[in-house]
Amino acid sequence: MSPIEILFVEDNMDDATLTMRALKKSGLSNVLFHLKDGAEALDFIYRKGIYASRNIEDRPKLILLDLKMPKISGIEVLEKIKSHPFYKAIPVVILTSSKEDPDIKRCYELGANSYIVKPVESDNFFHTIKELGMYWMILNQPPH
Amino acid sequence: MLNNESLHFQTLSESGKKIETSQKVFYTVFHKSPVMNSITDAITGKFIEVNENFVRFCGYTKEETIGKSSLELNLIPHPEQRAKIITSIKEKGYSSDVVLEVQTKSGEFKWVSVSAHAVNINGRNCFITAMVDVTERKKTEELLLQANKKLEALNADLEAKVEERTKKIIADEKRFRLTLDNMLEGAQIIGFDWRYIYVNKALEKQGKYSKEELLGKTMMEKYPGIEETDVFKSIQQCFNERVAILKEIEFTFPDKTIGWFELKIQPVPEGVFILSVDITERKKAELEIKKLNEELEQKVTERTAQLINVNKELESFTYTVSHDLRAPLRAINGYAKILQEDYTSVLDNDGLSSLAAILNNSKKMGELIDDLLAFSRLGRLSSPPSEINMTGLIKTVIEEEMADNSRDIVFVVQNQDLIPAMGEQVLIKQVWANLISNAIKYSKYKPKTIIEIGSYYKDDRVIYYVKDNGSGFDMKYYDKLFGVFQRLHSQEEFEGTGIGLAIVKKVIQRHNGHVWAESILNEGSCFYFSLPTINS
Repeated sequence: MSPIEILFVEDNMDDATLTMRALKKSGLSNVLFHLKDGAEALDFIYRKGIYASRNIEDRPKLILLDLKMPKISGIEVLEKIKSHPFYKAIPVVILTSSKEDPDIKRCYELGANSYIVKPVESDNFFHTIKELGMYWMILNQPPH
Repeated sequence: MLNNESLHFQTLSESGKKIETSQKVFYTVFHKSPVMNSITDAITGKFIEVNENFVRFCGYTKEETIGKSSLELNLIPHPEQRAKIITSIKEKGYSSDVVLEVQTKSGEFKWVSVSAHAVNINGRNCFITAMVDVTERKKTEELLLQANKKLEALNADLEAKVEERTKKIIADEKRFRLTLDNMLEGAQIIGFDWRYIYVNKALEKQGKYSKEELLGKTMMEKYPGIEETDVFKSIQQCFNERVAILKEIEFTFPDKTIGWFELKIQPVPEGVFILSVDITERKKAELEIKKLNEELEQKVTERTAQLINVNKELESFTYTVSHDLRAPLRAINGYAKILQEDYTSVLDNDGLSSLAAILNNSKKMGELIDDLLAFSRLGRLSSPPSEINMTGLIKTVIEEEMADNSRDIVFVVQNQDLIPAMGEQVLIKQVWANLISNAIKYSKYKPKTIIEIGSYYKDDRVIYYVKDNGSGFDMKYYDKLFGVFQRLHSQEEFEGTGIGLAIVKKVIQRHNGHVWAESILNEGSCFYFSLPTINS
């Protein structure tokens, strides 16, 4: 398994499929790892459950995080990431369905790097995801 | 004296020499006497002899006098005074010191004191009369009398006045007492020994004791424990400092009931005078109002909490709607896009146009959801109103609206200037944007588009308008014009979701303004809105 460059946390399988398709078209899908909910994301970060044997050095360059997830929300995951000594420097981009989301302000307070509203219209959606991936992966050099 | 003399004179008349000497003496005494002497005939009243002083006094010469009576000479203006003398002489043989008025030749009135005796001279009955001028005395007496009379009159007047005053004072006192007794406020006078000196009827009611029970008793006797109360301390203060004290007190009666009173305690010579108003009912009402207010506040707090709750629910509903409706739409649109991009070869024309319809409609629905959210957001956004430079604002709006527009549109701003107004700039900008973009949109079929923008004062508002020469609308559908998602044109004619004017209306209503419009189909429309002036 190649090193994970983009960690993608999204419970909605349709959104996940469309997002991954967009990133695939930008040539970024092979370094993307999809986690299906908040609980799995926490297991991944703290190397628990099926991720117990994961190499801690295997650190993604970008985390795409959906906010609205069952059981453990994106906010909680964000909080854990940003308080984790090893992962807190990784840029986190919040994916949300609406700019009305009351949690957006909270996300910035917790240290999210940016947020994007998933557009309904697919052209827009693909375009936004591609841009996002490109920006954070190629233009924006993460701190080491 | 004269009488004795004349008697003596008569007895001596026998001897000639002696008589002669006596006559000389008499003559001298008679004529040179400072008293005015005269001898008259007792029967005729005519003068027989008068002395020098008499002549000088009366002003008639001796010749004019002798042989005339005093009546003939008009010497005595009040004959009845003379009659008195005659009567006295007839009764007693003499009259002494009768004061009467005489009129001298010059017409002057004088007072004389007259004494007269009946004498017989040489067998002839005569009256010998002596008069003394008492005019000065009489004048003094007269003055005195007048002064006395005046004094008496003054005295009488004074007495009358005193009496009148006394009556008035008594009446006043009676009236004041009656007033005091019957007035609505309680009144009492407390002596320095704390005893009741006076109480009125209202106080009997307020104090719950009759007048008879109170008068002469001390406050401590009637209200045991009063020494510990505020009112007692205030009365004591008034006893000592002699200044009026105004106070509202709560008083517990011996029967444990409670009353509230407004007291005015003021110093009087006997002690203190206390005026009291029973404010128990008012106080009860106040307490009731206070209680009601507290309850009301409690209710308001509860309602506010409920409202906040409802608002939160609404917010989360809005979020849910936007999130949950958008997610499936995204999927529909996204998968349709995949079909369009990757599976065109396996679809026929019908399939492809169906796919295009799916894409178009899901996109449309996304826009509707976005508009709905934008509309609901208006209710929540709030910033304090400020003065808006409308000229600058519409310039920005026009620039933004024309950024992607290649049409030739003429904007006419009335007077090149708009009146400023108070408002939330972000929201008012949205109003202008909606109205101007509408004006642009609905005049797209006209060869030349002219949009007029202006403002004017009306009452205490500023009215703004945006006028176009576009397609206009039928006024019979006016009531639908500002409704959410209400459209008067088809999607094919003019694209849009029907949220723009609803937003305009909501924003302006939030500014306590009005929105209205006039239109003639195919000729154009004019939209108006009002805002508060910067001075309001």
